[in-house]
Amino acid sequence: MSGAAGDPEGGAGVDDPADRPAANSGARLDGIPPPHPALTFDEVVHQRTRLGILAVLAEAGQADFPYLRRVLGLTDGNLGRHLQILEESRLIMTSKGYHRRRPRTWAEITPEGRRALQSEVTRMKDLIKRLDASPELSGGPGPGGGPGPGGRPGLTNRPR
Amino acid sequence: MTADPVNDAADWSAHLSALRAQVRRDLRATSLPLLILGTATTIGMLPQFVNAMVARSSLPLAPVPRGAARAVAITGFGPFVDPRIDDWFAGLLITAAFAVMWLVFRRRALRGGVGRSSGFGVAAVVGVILSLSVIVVALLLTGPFVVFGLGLLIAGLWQRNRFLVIWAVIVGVIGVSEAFYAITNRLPAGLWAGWVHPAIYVLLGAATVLAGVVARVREDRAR
Repeated sequence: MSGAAGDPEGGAGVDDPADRPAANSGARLDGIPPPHPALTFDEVVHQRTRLGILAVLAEAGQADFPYLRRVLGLTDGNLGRHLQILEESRLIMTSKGYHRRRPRTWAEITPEGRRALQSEVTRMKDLIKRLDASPELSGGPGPGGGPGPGGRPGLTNRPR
Repeated sequence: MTADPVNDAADWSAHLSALRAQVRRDLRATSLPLLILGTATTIGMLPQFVNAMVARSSLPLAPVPRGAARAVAITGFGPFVDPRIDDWFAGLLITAAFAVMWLVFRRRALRGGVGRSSGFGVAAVVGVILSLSVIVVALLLTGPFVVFGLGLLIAGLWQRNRFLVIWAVIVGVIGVSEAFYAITNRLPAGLWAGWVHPAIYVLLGAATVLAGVVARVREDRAR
């Protein structure tokens, strides 16, 4: 799995035009089938920690820095870097204030952030649906209910 | 791009669900409003219900009138309290419940660092306008569930909480309809009694408390 918590830039760096969601959405008129959902992930959002930040903010509306750090199990620097990336992409807004003379940083998801998260979740569901539909990958034909000959161990009984 | 997107998708989907469940637990976003609002509604409706029961036991039984006179007969009983004042009292309690929710969520946002109180404050202001201004006539006509439905709808939309919105519409529509005796007047004659109308109100409040308890259990169980 890429995009570990210690790698804020994780998952970025692919510069293939085919990876751009705009170029990949929907069926093509020239007979070429639509791309695999895995190729349409947004590189900013498709990173485990940043996706987690967006999910928490979408659920809570807003959260402060210590809460995000605690829930996501991150260090100050790591969380700060991820927040900065999300803010630069206009997916969240941060604001600073004071409570009982202590500075506090609040993060709030933007409408673009909500849309990006929703789109990402939809793509992931699409991907999982493909996995379920594929007997080779879901381990259907394998003996004893396990993965088939071409199946991938570890994909069965995965929490959804 | 990730090395194994299929594995990632399944893993991350579970990770996101767990995170969302944890935030919902921390916020008590659905259970807390329903519990506070349901309790306030039930308490607000109880005097009306008790008065109806007292009136039923102290007044001689009379033939039940039909049509429009029936509704008048339901509300006109009892020497103790005018039901319209009871409705107003209940509307005030529901308004106070929204104010309490605003305070609780604001305190949680400041101390716990998560969530926000927006929506509940607006709902409380709408309740104050409906209960303590000239528009109080609307409250007396449509009953206290106009405050319940409108306030919870505003709060649910502001908080982006789908369950609160659905609950606001269901209970609001039933409650306001019952203010015009939509349910009471459709009951069979054998079931008709003066206490049925306030009992429906109390049941709506109790159902809201029950929904809050169920939401609380679901928030605790979500992993």
